[in-house]
Amino acid sequence: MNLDAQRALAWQTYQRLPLPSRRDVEWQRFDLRALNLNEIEKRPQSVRVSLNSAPGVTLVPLVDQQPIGRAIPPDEPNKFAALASALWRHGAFLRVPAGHKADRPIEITCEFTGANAVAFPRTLIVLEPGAEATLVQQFTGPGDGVHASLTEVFLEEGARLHYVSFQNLAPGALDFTLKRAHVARNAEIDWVVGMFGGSLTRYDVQCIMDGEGGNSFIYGAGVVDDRQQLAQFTRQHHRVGHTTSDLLFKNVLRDRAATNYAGIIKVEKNANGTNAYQSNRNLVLDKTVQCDTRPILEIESHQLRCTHGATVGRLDENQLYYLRTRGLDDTTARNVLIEAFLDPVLARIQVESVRQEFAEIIHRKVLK
Amino acid sequence: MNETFEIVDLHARIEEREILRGLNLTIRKGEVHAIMGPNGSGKSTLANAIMGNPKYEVTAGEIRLKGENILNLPTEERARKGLFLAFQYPCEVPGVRTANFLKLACNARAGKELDTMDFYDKLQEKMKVLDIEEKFVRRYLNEGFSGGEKKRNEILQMLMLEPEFAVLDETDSGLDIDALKIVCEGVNKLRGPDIGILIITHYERMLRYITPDYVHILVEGRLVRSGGPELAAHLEQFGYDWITKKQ
Repeated sequence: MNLDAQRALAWQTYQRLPLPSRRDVEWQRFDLRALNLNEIEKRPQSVRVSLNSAPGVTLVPLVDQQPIGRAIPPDEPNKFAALASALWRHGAFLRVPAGHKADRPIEITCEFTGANAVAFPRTLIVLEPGAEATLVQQFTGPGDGVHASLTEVFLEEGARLHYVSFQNLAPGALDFTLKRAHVARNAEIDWVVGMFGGSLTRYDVQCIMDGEGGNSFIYGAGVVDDRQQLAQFTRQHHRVGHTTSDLLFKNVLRDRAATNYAGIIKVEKNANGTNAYQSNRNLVLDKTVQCDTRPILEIESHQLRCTHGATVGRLDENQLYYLRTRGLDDTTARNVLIEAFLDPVLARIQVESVRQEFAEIIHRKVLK
Repeated sequence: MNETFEIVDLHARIEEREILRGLNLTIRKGEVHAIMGPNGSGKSTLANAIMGNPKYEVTAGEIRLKGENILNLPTEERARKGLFLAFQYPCEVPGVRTANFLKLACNARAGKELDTMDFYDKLQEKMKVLDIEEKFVRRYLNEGFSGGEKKRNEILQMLMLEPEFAVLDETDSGLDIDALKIVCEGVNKLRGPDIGILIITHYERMLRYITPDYVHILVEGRLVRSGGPELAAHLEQFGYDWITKKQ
């Protein structure tokens, strides 16, 4: 299907799908009243995409390169994904050729600007067989309005991607993001996702295990304060057996913030020898927050290892006391423990400067 | 200058139970005191009351550090003024690397940001004393440490923080003989005119490697007998029954 046909189908899909309501389990307690979609197709799109490539790879603005729309089709049953598929104008396309190992991190920065604006940055990533790369993608900027982004990832046989993506949009942004990675035989994605900004943020992070020997490691960190609302949805889909997916999402909530995590592990019939792990841990700093977590298993195979767990907890009084006996004041001790809670996610980031940047964003949100 | 640590008529309780019932003790710098007591005599309550654990309530008495009553000071202030507690059960703190934590603690004790190179030089030196491997301090604080490693880490913190008065709460428990010797050597290295040390213990075995100047026996929240090192040996021979029956 050519791009124009994709856009037309996506627009139909967008118009057909209802707005999520608070009765939908994935959206419960979320307040969408600030969302204004009137004549959204006529509003100016204001997003600036900056690319910083590495030798031997293709990194260019996204036009209609293939296989666009194959991981996230135009009739994806997700109102905001359909909206972005129909209207996107700006984006990035990354291709790492077969067998090539990018020797430095590749960067894609999508900056959202303007008042009452819209932005639909779209990214298509293809690692050909045996290719290796590290990609750092940042969604940032002072813009307010509707931001909906799409990211499609294809890891072909034996490819390896370390993908660090983080969202640090301004408080006026309403962000709807869908990221989906296909992982072929013996390929591996080592993925870290940071969710920090926006007043209302919906993050869908999904991996589809298409080939034996494929691995997905997905680590997420969310830090929300004030009245931020963060809805996370993850999906680990094992189409074939002898594949591994390991997911950990950790959130810190303070003030009147709310999070709602829902995660599915889906293992198809005959996908024997699957290993699937899912964990969602939440650290609650104030009694005024709202935190929901819901794991879902859809398993048709009989030979597999699968665990899932969810916790909602507060700072540990014994740990606080222990740190204070060594001279750390109450605020410092609390900050140390909050950062410690997120450390298992940050420790996955292999690029030192990016790990620092994550740490600084967290620091700014926590130190108040 | 008043270089003493004094506990005066201390009464303390946890929840509704009164555990310490008028405990008196004075430690001068340069001295090593040992408090020995059977289970339930109030040993851990004493350690917690000294450091200001919020779960314990002091109902009467005073704790004076160099003449100043510290009972109204928060835990961290007591630490910064030079008080140290080596825990019986050190807490595990996943996500905090031991070396980073030590740096924060040393900065807090010094009241300023210490030079990173100086800090690491000192850390290397103290780790050598305690026969601690390099990778140990890169691990998360006490997480997955063996009992012996945790106790060694407590003594490492003590050597790094250079307290004026240190309380060792059952540091010998859970240690095999080799680890006990190393830990005691570490304490002996610190021993001297600039520090007063209080060893709280159930058994006499730690006192074989650190000879105390004074030994006190704690029964039902009070010190019922004081003497020299020979008191510990006597206790080892005759058991706590000897003293509790006398009561």
